[in-house]
Amino acid sequence: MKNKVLGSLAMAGVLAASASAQAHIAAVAPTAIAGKTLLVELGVGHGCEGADTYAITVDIPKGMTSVRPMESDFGKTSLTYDAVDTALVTSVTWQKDEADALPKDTNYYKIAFRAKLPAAPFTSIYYKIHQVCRAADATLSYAEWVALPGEMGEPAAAQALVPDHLPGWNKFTVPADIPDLSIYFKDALIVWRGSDAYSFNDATVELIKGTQGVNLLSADGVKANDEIWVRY
Amino acid sequence: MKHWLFLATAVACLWGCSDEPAQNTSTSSSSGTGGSSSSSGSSSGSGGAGGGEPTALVSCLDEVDALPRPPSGKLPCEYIPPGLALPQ
Repeated sequence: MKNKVLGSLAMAGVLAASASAQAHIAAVAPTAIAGKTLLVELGVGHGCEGADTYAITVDIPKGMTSVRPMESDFGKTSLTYDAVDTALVTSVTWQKDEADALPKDTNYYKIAFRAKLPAAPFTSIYYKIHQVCRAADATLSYAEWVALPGEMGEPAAAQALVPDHLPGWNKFTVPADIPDLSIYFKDALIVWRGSDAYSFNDATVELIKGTQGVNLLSADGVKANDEIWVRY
Repeated sequence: MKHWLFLATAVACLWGCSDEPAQNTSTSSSSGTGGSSSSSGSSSGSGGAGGGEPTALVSCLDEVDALPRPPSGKLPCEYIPPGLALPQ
């Protein structure tokens, strides 16, 4: 009986954790092309304890340049700039007019900006986000989505930087150890290092196992300077 | 004179008519070997893979009449990277 209760509690914890994980402020696209200028979209899954999201500030990660935010449901944007390099945007804030604040936390929001991403493939960038919510009685509350991996608190939005690639075969030399291939190659059909192969797709993993002369490449099996073939 | 012109035109037409099918035949027979492309394709493929009977699973060859099929327990050739030959 005790085990059943503990099991139920554990299951409830897992469900709560996964529910909150899905509700985080997160990058709409889990990966982005390193060194390219593209649109970064962040999804705001929920407000704060039933209060609608009123303002969002995104700290622009180091190495990201040419930031040009888009207007959104929040209306116009305001920018802050680096003290030394006065053209470098360091944060963007989207804030609603008070009249546009909703009485309850009912809506999903998307904010976006175009920027040039760092030319650092096989790394991740993190967007620290500060959320302000406004209740129907005009009370403000705050949520900080700033925790990096290994830190306590609400996680910053992450985006994995992948090298520029085309559909078909692509050959890369890996600049540093890749701790988890699934972060960078979830959308690849297959990844090869020599005669070792990896795929995020379970059906393809079965084919790899069933093919003579091919070994399954573990998710952490690619090291710096390895040459890999990736088919997208 | 008119007869001469008519004759010349007829000869030219016959030349053209007899030439076209001949060209067609030659192209169709040359691509016909490619058309019976499994043999031609596989021979050039096995040449690329080392000659003779295909002994290795290699990355895909250009086989016009090969239809995509679901894999049967092994990686399809489309998933084998260029330059890698695997024992079959």
